Amino acid sequence: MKVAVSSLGRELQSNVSLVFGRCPFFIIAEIEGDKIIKSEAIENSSMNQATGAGISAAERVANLGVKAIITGNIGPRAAAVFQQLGIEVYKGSGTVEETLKNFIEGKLERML
Amino acid sequence: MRIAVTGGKGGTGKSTIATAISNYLAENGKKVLLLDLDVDCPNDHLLLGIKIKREQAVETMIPKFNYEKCIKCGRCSKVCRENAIVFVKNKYPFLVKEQCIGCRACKIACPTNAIEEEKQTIGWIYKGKKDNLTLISGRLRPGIEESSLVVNATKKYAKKLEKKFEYVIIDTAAGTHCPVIAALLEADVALAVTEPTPLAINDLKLILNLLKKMKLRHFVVLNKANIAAKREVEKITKQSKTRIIAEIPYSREIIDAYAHGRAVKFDSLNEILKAVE
Repeated sequence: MKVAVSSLGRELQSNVSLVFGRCPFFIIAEIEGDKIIKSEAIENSSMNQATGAGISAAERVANLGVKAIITGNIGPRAAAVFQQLGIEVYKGSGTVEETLKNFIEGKLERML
Repeated sequence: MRIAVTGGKGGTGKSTIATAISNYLAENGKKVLLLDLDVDCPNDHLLLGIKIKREQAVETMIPKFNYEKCIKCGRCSKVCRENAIVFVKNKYPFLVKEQCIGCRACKIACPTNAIEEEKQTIGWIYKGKKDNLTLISGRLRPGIEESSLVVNATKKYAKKLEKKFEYVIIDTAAGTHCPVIAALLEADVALAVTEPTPLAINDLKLILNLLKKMKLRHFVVLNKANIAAKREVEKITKQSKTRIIAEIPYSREIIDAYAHGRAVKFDSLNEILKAVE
């Protein structure tokens, strides 16, 4: 399954971003069983948008086919988009790698 | 005559001065229409102690998707400049209502006529009266993004009544963005209300620049004139080839009227009106 993590940097060692719509990067990770088999960083092009950043960031990651989102927090409009699309949202913290490990082990709190 | 009161920074006294001018004119027998176009938080009625009543709702069109006709092409989402339509491949598009400004681009772009129209309320228009002074206020519905739509709707509503009045005073929001520009359009003269503080001076530069670009005749009103040196304000005013037509002191008397919901009075009201005529 594919998941997107809001991140402050491009690496798995980067910290999870506290915000979703205006985070600088998304780490898109492919998980199979209990392993991260692939990950890539994409820049969040909606980050500096005047309004509607959450909506367009949500639309973009949804189009990548992710099944779950991990982020520190999420705004109401991005949340509404994921809810409508049936994409799950989890609360993450620490490094992207740690939080993905916790996600695989089912330890993350589900926000949506 | 249409006099707009603006200024850039919030809290410089735009509403205080707009209501003071309106009240002064009305007390001197003029018929005055005051438009409160600070639609995010209209409060001229509080400053004047006027009761206002909701007259009508401001509505815009929003798209309603007919999913039986929709072919999931995503064109509606692509043309939406407000990012109000979310489209994910192989799924039906959907609307984030609060972002929609009712421009109908999605409806035009849809190749299968799958978009019908619905209405949403984005704000309301209020009205109140005290003797010669009529107040019309626009109010944005909380959560709606684009406040200039409510500014324009309030102006349109007021336009039908304007003939009965000698003066129209327009109170704008703070800032230099769309709702301020919408409020300033069609004014005969604008007053940039400022105070001698670094933040207000910075914003004064922005608003004077905007007024110049709009080719709108304008003057500066210096409020709270005695709280700091006014050299910078004088400099900027001179640079943009206009002048300070009134200086209003920061005084106990003004604060007192403000705190008790009475229109403020000060000596230079007459000078302001003389300058703009």
